[in-house]
Amino acid sequence: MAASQEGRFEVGEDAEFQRLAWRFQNVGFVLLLLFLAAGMLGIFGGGGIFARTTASAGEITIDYDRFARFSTSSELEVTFLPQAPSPHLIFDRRFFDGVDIEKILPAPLAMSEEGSNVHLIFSSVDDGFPMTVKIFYKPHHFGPLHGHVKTNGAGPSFTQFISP
Amino acid sequence: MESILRGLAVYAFLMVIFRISGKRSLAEITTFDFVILLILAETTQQALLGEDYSLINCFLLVATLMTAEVLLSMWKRRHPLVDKILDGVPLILVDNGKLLEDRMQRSRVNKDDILVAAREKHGLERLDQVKYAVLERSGGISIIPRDERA
Repeated sequence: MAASQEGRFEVGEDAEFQRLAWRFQNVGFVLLLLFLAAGMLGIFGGGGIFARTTASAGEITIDYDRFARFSTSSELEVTFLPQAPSPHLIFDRRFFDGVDIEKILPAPLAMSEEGSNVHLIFSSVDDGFPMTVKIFYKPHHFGPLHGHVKTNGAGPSFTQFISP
Repeated sequence: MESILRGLAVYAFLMVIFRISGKRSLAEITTFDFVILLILAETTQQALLGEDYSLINCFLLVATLMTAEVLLSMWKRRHPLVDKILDGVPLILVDNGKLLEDRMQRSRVNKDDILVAAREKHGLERLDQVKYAVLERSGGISIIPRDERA
């Protein structure tokens, strides 16, 4: 038994509280390890096996960050069969409203808005070969970020979770 | 508003992390601990400021952190339980010359730490000259020497 409990030494000890504090520390340390493990797996973006994913529908395949970070660069790669003479992509406007576009490769010839869609029109390419467009952007909200991309027919929808 | 929320989030996160890591984490810092402390400061600084290096953002963040400090100290003063939760309680490690091994182990303190504190603060040479050793809320170890005349 410690001296304070015997009333000999005024030190303001609280053995019961201290035991709770140690328990909190032990549980907290386990949570800290889980947090780091989630980070290693890519749950908070920035690389890791769960960080990126692909989706495809129709003639479009997209490769994107399933988990990204607020105000940090992310990349969406769209591979599709271009349609001559002017290949184009049609994006759901919600996606463009939620991000700051840094650059698009190859650069589109024109970009226009039509209702709830954003059209990207690219220069003509050889028919029959798939074309890859890379969009680099920074999300400016955190939470889920939804998007949809298509050409003329169907296209994949995607959802990213943006960490604060 | 965003910078104030960032400031509060970083403040709360650091508080929880330091409570988890225990009192001894940065109480008596070695050279390497000092380097870690600098890296921590640099890392949090980037998260706090983001890409906004304006003076007003700096003023807002400093005001946020200082206000949080003042409000917490007022809260701790009014409510002893909050004070205990945030700052912990002192813990006796040597009781009347006897090492309390279980407490030392849980607090990550060893006999050498106590001897260092005894040497530095009182010039003591041996453990049997220590009457009490207390792990304070600050993480430092205070020593009460035995009364040699007794």
